Amino acid sequence: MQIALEIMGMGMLGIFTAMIVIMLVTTVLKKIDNKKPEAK
Amino acid sequence: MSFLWEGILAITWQQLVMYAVGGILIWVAIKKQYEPSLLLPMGFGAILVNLPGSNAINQTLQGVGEVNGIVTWLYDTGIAASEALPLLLFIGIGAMIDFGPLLSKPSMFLYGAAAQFGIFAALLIAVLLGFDLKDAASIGIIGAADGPTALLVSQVLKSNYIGAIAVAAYSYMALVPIVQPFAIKLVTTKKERSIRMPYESSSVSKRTRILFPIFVTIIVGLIAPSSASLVGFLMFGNLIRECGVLQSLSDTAQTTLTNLITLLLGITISFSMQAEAFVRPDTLFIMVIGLAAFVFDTIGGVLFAKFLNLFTKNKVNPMVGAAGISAFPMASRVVQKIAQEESPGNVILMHAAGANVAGQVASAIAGGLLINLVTSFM
Repeated sequence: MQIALEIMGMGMLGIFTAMIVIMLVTTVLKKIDNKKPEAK
Repeated sequence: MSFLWEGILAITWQQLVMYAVGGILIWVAIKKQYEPSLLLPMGFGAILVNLPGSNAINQTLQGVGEVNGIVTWLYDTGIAASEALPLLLFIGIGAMIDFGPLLSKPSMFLYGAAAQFGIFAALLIAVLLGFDLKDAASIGIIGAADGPTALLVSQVLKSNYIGAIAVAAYSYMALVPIVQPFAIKLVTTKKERSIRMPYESSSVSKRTRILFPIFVTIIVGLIAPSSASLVGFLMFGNLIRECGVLQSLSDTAQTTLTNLITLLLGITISFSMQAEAFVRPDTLFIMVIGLAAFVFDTIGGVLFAKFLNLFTKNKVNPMVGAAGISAFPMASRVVQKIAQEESPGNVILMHAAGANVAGQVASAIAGGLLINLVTSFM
């Protein structure tokens, strides 16, 4: 039971960490795009 | 005539149950059109592998020894050896997904994460009901709402219940339009469901669309190495779609490859639906826990959205959180339908679609994390 709770906590933490990092990278990519218009 | 009689007498009651299960799956696939491309082959396969002495699975013949069966071979090669079939299917899925709505509003990534809560809630319930950790985790992954991920995790963890897990994962995905509205209405008010969200479409450059799958693969590979193949193949498919120079491969991945794998996957899964492994009380528990996983996914996503609303000026319709499950595009359509019913003219589809594709990525990450965590405790 305790292990299951630990897995739950660490699992949700891991997913949020991964998604937050991806979100930040995506936001940075968008910011760069906005500053530097794509070459035609 | 005596051959027929011998065959009939050799049928066990457990096999009869499996014929009924197979019949129900075929009926649901044809009559209700719920995931027919998978449920129909699974239903037919459930009958095929449970015929007494069926040579579709390995048999030991007197004086000859073991004879290989095609379904056993497909399972050993396509799933047990390297999880090839579910992974290859991910290339097709990746090629089908347009990450545009998500890239336009990156905050939607968070909703994809929150809606994975059901995986861990189901794991907890399974442990409380007495399943060992690897089986509990395999049952929990039904909550990923993602058939290939559920198959991969239960296979890697060598669960004893792969057949039941596969049936639950695919059946409940088909039942999202029934399960989600119930769960959403359980934790939201009409006022909350009527919240309108303006959508400002911002163009996403080709450069971002190409870099996104590459960065995601690297990030996920570093955080959850056991998700690298799942997310990597998903992103590979998406890169083929977005690169702009592989249109023919992208079309093939979206149509021919996906159809071929789907065609084989259903009947291959039926290997794990042999009566002696499937017909037992635990299967019923797995079905119930799987259903609970979908409900908790939805509730987790909705409550997370409500929590964020406490701190934000522009309120989010909490139903968008429910769209963070992986069942794509069904979850976002369900959410849009409810929004439309509660407040005619309310369009939250693009927000929901963003959360929905985020859920696709999050569920694959969750699968890998679960493997990492469970194996570290075993």
